[in-house]
Amino acid sequence: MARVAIEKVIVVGLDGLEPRLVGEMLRRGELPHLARLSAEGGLGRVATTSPAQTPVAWSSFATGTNPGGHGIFDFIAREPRSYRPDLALNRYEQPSPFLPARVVNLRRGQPVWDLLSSAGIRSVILRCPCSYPPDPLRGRLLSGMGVPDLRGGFGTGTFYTTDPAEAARESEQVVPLDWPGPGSGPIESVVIGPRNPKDRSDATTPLTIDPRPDEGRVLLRTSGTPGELELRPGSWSPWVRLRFKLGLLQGARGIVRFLLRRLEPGRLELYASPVNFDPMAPPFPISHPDLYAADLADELGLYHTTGMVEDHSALVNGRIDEAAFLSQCDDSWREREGMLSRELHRLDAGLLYCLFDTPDRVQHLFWRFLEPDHPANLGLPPDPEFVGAIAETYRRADSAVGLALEAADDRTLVIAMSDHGFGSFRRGVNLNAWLREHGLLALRDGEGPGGGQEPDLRQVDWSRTKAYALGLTGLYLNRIGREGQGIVPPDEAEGLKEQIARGLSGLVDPRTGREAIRGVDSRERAYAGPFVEEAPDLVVRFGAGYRVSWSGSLGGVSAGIFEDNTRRWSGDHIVDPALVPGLLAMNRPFRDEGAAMVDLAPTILEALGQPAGPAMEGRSLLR
Amino acid sequence: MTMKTLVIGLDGLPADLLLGDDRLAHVRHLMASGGFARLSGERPADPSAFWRSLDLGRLPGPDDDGEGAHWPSLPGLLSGDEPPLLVGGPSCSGGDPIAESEARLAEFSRRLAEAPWSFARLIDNAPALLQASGAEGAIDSWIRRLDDALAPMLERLGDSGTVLIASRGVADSAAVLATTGGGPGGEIPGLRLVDLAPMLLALAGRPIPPSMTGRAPDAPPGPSGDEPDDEQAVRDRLQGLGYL
Repeated sequence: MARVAIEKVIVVGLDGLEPRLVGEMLRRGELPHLARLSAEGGLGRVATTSPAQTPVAWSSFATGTNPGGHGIFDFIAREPRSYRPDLALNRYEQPSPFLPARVVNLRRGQPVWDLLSSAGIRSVILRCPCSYPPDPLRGRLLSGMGVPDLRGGFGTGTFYTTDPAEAARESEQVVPLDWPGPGSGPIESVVIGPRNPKDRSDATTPLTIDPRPDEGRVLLRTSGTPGELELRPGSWSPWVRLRFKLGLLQGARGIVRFLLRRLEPGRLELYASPVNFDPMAPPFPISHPDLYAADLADELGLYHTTGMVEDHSALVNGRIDEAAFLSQCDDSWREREGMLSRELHRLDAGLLYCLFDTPDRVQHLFWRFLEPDHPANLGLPPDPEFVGAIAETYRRADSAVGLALEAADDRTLVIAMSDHGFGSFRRGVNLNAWLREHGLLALRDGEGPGGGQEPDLRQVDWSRTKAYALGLTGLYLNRIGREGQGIVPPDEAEGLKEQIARGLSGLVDPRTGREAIRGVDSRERAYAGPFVEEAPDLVVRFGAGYRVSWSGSLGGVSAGIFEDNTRRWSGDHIVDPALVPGLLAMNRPFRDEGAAMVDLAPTILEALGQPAGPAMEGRSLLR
Repeated sequence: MTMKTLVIGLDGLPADLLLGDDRLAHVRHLMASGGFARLSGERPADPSAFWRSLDLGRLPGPDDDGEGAHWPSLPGLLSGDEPPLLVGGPSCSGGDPIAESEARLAEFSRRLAEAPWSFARLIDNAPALLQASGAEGAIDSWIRRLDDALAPMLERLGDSGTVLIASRGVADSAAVLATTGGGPGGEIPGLRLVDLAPMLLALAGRPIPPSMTGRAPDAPPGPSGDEPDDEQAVRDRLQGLGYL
């Protein structure tokens, strides 16, 4: 029987949904909409990319190419002349002294929505990673992962405290408050905004904090909108719109929320979220057309615009608790559900893609509740209240699939999928420590680990270093002619790569007896395409339960190779991609054997009557 | 390397529309990184005399022949070996002001790209024509399109040059000026129409002819590059990803 023609394709992206957990919940009947998809078309697994990282995998989804074809190999890249780490997703450049800085998307290749635009077919793309700055297209696009906060970071919150001993932890600012106690009147403080690009000073705007401990509340007065708001412990404030002045003329608009953490006589703790771009007036475009971001805000209210919405750093730093974090996740879900519903209502043909990132963040931070013996639980006993947090997130993901199914007709292809699976992160591996132990990396005299601050690539003696690790899975040779102080000649490179790959493959953690590294691939084996030269020389595939160590990801050189992961960030997915395939379900029969991320773009194109793009490597999964 | 000078004249545009609109990203950037002014002092009401005064650095007087031909003027003083690139003028009119303006912009952009130049000037009278025809409402979208069109023109300045955007409104006039060779910018108090030519000449390192009655301010405005991030700032920002 001929297949009914497809006019609409709806892709519900569910970041990090683990097929094994989905399977268990399906058996328990907890995911009715995914069950329906499974019955109508099928439900299986989709091979993720190497490495199994969100921006890498969704870029392969979008372009139908392996990372060698789109140029995103990791969150982190390095500038080889200086060895300096930097974000690999986008960069800012100033083409002329007379022109303002602009953002350049480092994801190359041709996304599926570009091909559809050329064919006259509209797309609506909501929050796809590596879509900042927004791709021009026939349709609408709201940028996702890659959009920074107003300070240019990925989530720099502010902790206000009356404790003078409190120091800043990771990715945060601490503002001390001078409050003698009740009756002493309001406290004059500031909201910290962007850095002034001229002198790197902090732009601020006034904030008056009026604690009323006897009433169990704090009144905030801001220079923005609303000008006054009330905070009660544990509840997030509404968005506050602020303008930060940057010099005589320039300013930047942002939005921020507050959470009152503690209010006792003489003790006050307040958290301010990272200042997000104001969707009504972002300093750089975050949507196509430009006004789409504002239209969404007009219709649905202000919303998070940063690429990574949830305040994971605040939870990791202990500035907010699990309940407050999940409350924020709930807001994030509602924002995204609102956007999806709006666009489903308008969809009459073409592609609609919407990513829900929250499952990824919740699993990163709540995995320890599934494993009582997780190292992250040492000294931090898991509250039974949160054992079901991940399952609840999966049920919410299932509801999002339900929205799509409700809007689908017999000419609609519905795809629900994740970019990778998930697992435990119990032990970290410091690759630079391994290289140092094997004589391939040397620190400058007097810079050995184990003293005060752990050394990193800034303390490396490059004249005695043949290889170094940076990023979440990458190893680089210190090559002559490429690195600033390279010492590895071209004729030694292949042998050195083989030596390192042999040494690291099968590396066993002496504490657990488990295989920490399953294998190491050369970039020539892992990738093909025009951007392979930008990839790390070697890509490490970690074993289950392992990942690159915290400091190692930014080039740190620790005293030992292995370490317990004691942070709340207790789940992860940056392991051997074979261990963490994503989930794939459709309402039409499809081929799930051997399905990979690169197959999705050709699938969407075929469904809408278009040939695959010339650079695409995959093939349609439709039967 | 010869310093390039780019002058964009907007005839009929009130000062507020040039200086007061946050949506004009490129104008705003030039204002913030260079300098700007509401022009003070005497300004000819006649459009041709206004733009001629800008070129000559002097107001029309009894010895002015109406063309200013015998006074040294900016196009001649700054064009160097190449002929000056001049497009548009205050008296251009005919059909649809918007269509004509777009054609002028396209021609100007094309000529900026296709041949070497040291001095280039565009005078667009679309705002004056729109006002005259009672279509003031269209000026808002016109100036935003013009702001978008500035980017490729500014790129043509390369790494060494000066840009002046001047507006002539009925009630007031304004100037925005930025250069790679200048110092601190901001609002330039007391800047007059006749000061613009001496200022451009000073920025290009050329002598100011005695016929010019204007004067160049001591500290010309110039874009100063943004401070590069130090490595620790980059590391701090990256840590917000959560994975690091």
